Amino acid sequence: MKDLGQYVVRRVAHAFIVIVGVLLITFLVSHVIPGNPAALWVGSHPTADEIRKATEDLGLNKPLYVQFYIYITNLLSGNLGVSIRTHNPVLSDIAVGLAATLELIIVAFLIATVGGILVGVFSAAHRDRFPDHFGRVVAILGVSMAPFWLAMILQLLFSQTLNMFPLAGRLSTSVSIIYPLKRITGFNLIDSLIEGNFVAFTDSVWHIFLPALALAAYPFGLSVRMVRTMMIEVLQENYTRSELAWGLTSRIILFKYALKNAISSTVIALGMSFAYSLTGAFLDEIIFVWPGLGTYTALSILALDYPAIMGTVIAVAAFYVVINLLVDIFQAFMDPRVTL
Amino acid sequence: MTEQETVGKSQNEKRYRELQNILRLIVTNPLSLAGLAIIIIFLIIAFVGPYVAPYPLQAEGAPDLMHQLLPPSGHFLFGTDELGRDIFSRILFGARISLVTSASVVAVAVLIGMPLGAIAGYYGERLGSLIMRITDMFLAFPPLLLALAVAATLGGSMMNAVLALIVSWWPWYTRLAYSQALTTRNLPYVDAARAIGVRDRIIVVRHILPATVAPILVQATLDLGSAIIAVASLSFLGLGAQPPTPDWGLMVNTGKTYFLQHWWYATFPGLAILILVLGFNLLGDAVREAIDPKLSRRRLI
Repeated sequence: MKDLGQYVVRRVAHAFIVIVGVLLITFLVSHVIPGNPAALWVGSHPTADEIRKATEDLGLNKPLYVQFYIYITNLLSGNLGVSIRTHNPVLSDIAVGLAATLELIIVAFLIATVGGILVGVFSAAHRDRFPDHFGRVVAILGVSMAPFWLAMILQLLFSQTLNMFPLAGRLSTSVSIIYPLKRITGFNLIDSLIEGNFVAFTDSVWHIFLPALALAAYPFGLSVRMVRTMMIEVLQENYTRSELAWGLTSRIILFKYALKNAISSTVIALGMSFAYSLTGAFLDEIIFVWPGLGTYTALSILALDYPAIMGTVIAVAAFYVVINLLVDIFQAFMDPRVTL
Repeated sequence: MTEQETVGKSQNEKRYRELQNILRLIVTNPLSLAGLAIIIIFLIIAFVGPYVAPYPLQAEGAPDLMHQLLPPSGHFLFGTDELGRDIFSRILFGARISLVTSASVVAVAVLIGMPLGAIAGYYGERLGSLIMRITDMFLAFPPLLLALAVAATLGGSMMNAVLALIVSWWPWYTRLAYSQALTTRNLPYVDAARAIGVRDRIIVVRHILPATVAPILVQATLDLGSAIIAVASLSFLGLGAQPPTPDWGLMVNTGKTYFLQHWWYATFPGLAILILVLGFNLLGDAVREAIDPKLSRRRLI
């Protein structure tokens, strides 16, 4: 346990350095690459006054290290700039979108995890036979599809043609008027349960299903691949052979013993898949007009809203570093060998 | 022939035999064969597509306002778009764009990443850890996000999208070359070269880099699939190719306004992306299995 503590401290320190690196890189991208950074920050039709003001605010007439200092202090005080399109502080826009995006990612993640583990274990157990080939092809299909295209196809099939799911959005207009949701956590699925608003809950499930399914395809394929590889390794170990010799049924061996030993890599796979969902969600949301960070970024790109784009990039990258940190710590907790 | 060269030669032979094994596994596995076939077909399309496309002028952007948004038919195999252009022709033209852009992303990323990794792995110490720290910072971004930031800064164009992806892509090869160089650094033939006083710079070029080439080339080929999706994603966000380029990602992007009423518009360009990427991934999966020694033992359950 002492090792674990040291490991956590070391890992947190490392994450801190990485975040500084992320800020450094975004600084270079936004202040050094562009020909005229001030023009980018004020949008498509700037007046000379606006440019002068941006130059002043960002310290663009000062040496680079002073600019970096201004940049960092602004970020640390939560000032990501003001969106050109919405006129809100970028941070508050992000805070609104983040809950919607997270809700989508988490549901997709659950679908990918459960599906990935089941198909992965199944594939490994029938290695090189028909079920394995089938599982692998499904997994490869999952990682080969452009997420936005899969979203469009699902929308076309299940919403437009079969009319089984709503076309877009997060909540039906009628439901949001008759059974309005109070914003407690920002997660519609949770808020509606807290309030006991089952109509809104069902409606939310209805709306989230297709976007989550489209988003789950890539992480699902990734997890199947990792779980399968891990399980095949574990199944070749001698202890698995003795368990078989003792007459344990293969299902117990597979799920109770083998999967437990494959869990550490499974966690890595899931962490990776979560990371992929983060940017996958950006593309997925645009199709389903899901009011999250992806739609926000897409609209910002269309409007040449540079502060909003960079703000979202920084926020999501920082969030990503924290997720990686948590995955590593969780993994060390599950498998003490990691801390060595 | 010096002894050092003899050792180096037997190393090369070993690598050659490994490569042969991998090739045999690929041609005996139906899935990877299918992948290979897909890739070859798309390469052929990329070469001859512009010459056999039924409506080459439309593929390059010329509108035909008499035939807007027509469903697939004998005349227009995949239907027409909102400017009446033949989608099939545009897809044939797009194959070249897709393959060239993704290959440039991966190739330049390898050219930047591989030497850096080899240097970091061989020298170790301060220079090595500095390079790897910087690499880690780039890897700290979720996939596509850094490219999105760079592309948004540079402004939307195909060239800028490729540049943006290179910026976010090279660290992966640095990582790979680094670990390869670490294991090669202490092999006897490298020790021997050091012992007889060969300069470090020459050791890196003649011994470390060649050892990293094979695994990186394999990885780079497999990465082409993800590169194609990445390029298409940037185009989809409006940060890549601009109209009227017959780029697949851009076609899906413009198609999203129309596809609920005109299903063929976005479906076929997306299908082209899917099939090509599938080809690379099918091949990649088999290669990965072939080179992973842990998976080659027999099975129990």
